[in-house]
Amino acid sequence: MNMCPESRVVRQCGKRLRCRLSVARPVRWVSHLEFMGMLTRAVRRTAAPVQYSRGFNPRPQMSFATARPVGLSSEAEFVDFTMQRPYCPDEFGEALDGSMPKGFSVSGCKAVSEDGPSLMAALNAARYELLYEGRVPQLSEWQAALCEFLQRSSIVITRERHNKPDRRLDIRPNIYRLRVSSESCGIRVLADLGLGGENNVRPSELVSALQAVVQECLQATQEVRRPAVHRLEVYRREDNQKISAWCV
Amino acid sequence: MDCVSELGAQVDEILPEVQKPSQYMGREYGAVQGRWEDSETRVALAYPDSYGVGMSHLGLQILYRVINGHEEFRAERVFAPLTDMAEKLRSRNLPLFSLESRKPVSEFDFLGITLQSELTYTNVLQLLSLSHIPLRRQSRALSDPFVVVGGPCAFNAEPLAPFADLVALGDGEELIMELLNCFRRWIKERRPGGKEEFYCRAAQIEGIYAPALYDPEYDESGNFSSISCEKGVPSRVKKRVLEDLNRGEFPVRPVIPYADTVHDRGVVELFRGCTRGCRFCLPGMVYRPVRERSADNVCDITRQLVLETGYEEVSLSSLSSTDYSSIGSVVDQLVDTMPLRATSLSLPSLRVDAVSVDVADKVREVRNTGLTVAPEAGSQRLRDVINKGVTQEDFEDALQRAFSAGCDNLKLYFMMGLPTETDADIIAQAEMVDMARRLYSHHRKSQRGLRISVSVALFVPKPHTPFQWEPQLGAEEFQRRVELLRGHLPSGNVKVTWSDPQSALIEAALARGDRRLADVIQSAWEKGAVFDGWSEHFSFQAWREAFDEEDLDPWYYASRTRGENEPFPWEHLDPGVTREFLLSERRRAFKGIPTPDCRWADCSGCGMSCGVTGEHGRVQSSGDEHVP
Repeated sequence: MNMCPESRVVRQCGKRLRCRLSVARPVRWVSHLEFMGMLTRAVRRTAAPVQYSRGFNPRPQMSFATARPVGLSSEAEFVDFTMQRPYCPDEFGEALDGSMPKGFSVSGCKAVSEDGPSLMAALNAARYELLYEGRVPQLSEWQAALCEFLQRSSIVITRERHNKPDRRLDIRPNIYRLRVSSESCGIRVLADLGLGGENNVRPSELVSALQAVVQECLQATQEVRRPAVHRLEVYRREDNQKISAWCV
Repeated sequence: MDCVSELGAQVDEILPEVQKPSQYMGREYGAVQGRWEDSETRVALAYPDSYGVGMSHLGLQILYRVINGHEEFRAERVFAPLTDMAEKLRSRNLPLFSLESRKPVSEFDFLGITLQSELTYTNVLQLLSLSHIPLRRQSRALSDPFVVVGGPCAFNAEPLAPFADLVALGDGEELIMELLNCFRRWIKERRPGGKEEFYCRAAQIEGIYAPALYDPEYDESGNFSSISCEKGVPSRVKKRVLEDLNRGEFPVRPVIPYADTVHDRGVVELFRGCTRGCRFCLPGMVYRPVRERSADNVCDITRQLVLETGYEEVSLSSLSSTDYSSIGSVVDQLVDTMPLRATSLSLPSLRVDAVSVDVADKVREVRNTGLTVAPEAGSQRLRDVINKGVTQEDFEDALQRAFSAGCDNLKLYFMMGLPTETDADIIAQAEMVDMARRLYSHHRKSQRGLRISVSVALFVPKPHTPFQWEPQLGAEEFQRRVELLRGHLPSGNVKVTWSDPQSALIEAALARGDRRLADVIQSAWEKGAVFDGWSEHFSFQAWREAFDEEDLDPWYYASRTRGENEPFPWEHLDPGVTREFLLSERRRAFKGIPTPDCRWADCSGCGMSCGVTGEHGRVQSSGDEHVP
């Protein structure tokens, strides 16, 4: 499924190392800014030859794919580190993994081409897992409800913005795919949504929009608990192809 | 994935709805792991302010390490939840929990609370109440935790006495372990004699005060007259002193917060105590003698700290950092050999003189953040009164060095309402600012570019200081003097901020208060007073009503000149300096006679048994000694 032009991945040492990080559920309350601070100190503790910015307060050069909303756990936080000299990705990944607090981990590290685009510019979609536990509708009801949901021509939500007036916008064009399955602990919805810039859909916005639908097909007075949301994947969506974050 | 307790799951439900949820999450780098069940005795270490304030406090990190260094003991952290979180906990009837195990605070054996400011006293009640622990010691059950308060304000713990089981005076490192071991023996013997017996046993530990065993008395006119104590406990409770800082545990692997804190940096303690003898200063009186960490030890732990934490900045901290005898050589060594890239040193609490500025310049502090100094008073006369050993020349020299090093930012801390202060002293503060501007333009050929901020604090007389007899200046007169200062300051480039005289009044009343104030504190808290040190939360209304209701007067405590022979409700708590010394210092103050620092001059006879006359038990360090 994943298209990966081999030329992008440099197998050996490199000056641009791309790491895939996980944020486990118990530590999901850490904000993006706090996550960056944690990584800065973790990188410094490894004593790996990361490139530092110039100026009064030199900082390790890191660039992120996207800001993770507070409260979202993830296994797909991609970060590029610039090294002073070509450095072994396995060694760096292992060192970083060992120097982060429990709850954060490195699941992969590879050298990528130095002149490739930034992660933020290259990635435009993400896959989330919504886990509805407890008393929830049957799978068949879910399927029908989601079908109806996706047939709507527009899904308008109100986005609250920091220090700016609220904004009404249609998220339907950037909901690419919804799939539902039944798991032992409840219902699992996989959602592919737009990521970054104008296409961004926050998973919490989808959850809110779905909430009414779910409530309706439950046809009960009892409130359906909001699902646990987890980021599974970030990728580039191009002509309906999916390009892995390793390869952009 | 971790097994989350029922309370933990309920907490997770409210976290999306509060500001900065990570402050209630725990799980930081350096936080203790392992299971709650594997320890026998558990201590909740609480800082009665926000996570951001409390996590910047070194004392908490030290005790956390000391306790957790023992398998059978476990310390976890607790902070005062911000108001949004407190509301959520209340509305769902959830108890306040520890950050590590998310256990209700009420399930701990001890709740230790540090008292760094009088304006956190209502937060102490807030902590107890949110923990579902009865506020009053007398209403608590045997199963409730023992509430122990410590820190500088513990030296007059009387206003909090009915809420506390025990009070810890002085250095906590050794004291806390003795207390915990004493507790374990009492538990093993199946708690003979109940809490009363434990109070008696604990009171045998040097530095422990058990207020239940002491009873204050008041005369017919309502003044405090004396305090009596039960048999078998000392009539005066001596503070605890850690003799050798080098042998005490130091947290080279502290808990590193995710959330922004007040000071987001590593801290190394250079020395404890201070003998400069500023006559207004509580820590300078109660934490004597000076005990220096050796230069080798400072360098060692700084390097370890940098490697273990990855912090970009390490602060060499103490009550007056540049008074450290080997400061020059330690800074040189560290600047040359800092183990990680781009780690900077910072030196808070600079003495006002050229040597200090030179040292600060070595760590580029002056260039990066500017010069922050506290002359406290404007005129030499008043600086002699308060024994702030800073001369006009010192100040000028310091500024010259700073400006030639490229400093564009000057921060000055002044006090107002000091004993004997006149308008001329206020105008002298403005003249210091003026001189700074002249010196700057001499260096830079222009006054533009220099930013000066002047911070004015209303003097709060503190117990155990030579000014414990002095009245606090009233709010109106304070405002007039602030306006006088502002009127004499040049316009532009100078920013002046000053303290809220109403919160300073409450601080002053509590600082020299007696046990009767407990009712006022509780009543104020019931009326919503909480986070009194935060201007956006402070409610004078609540406090005034509380004082009225209890028929007590804040001005009685804050604004009255106390008699030379008046007994004080805090004098059974003994920091080592004697009343005679404080009184003689007060007399010298009024005559304008300074008392030199006994580190470099003769013993001043403060009463603290420091062993070495004139040297005050100072650990001799290798390297060069600099004497101002």
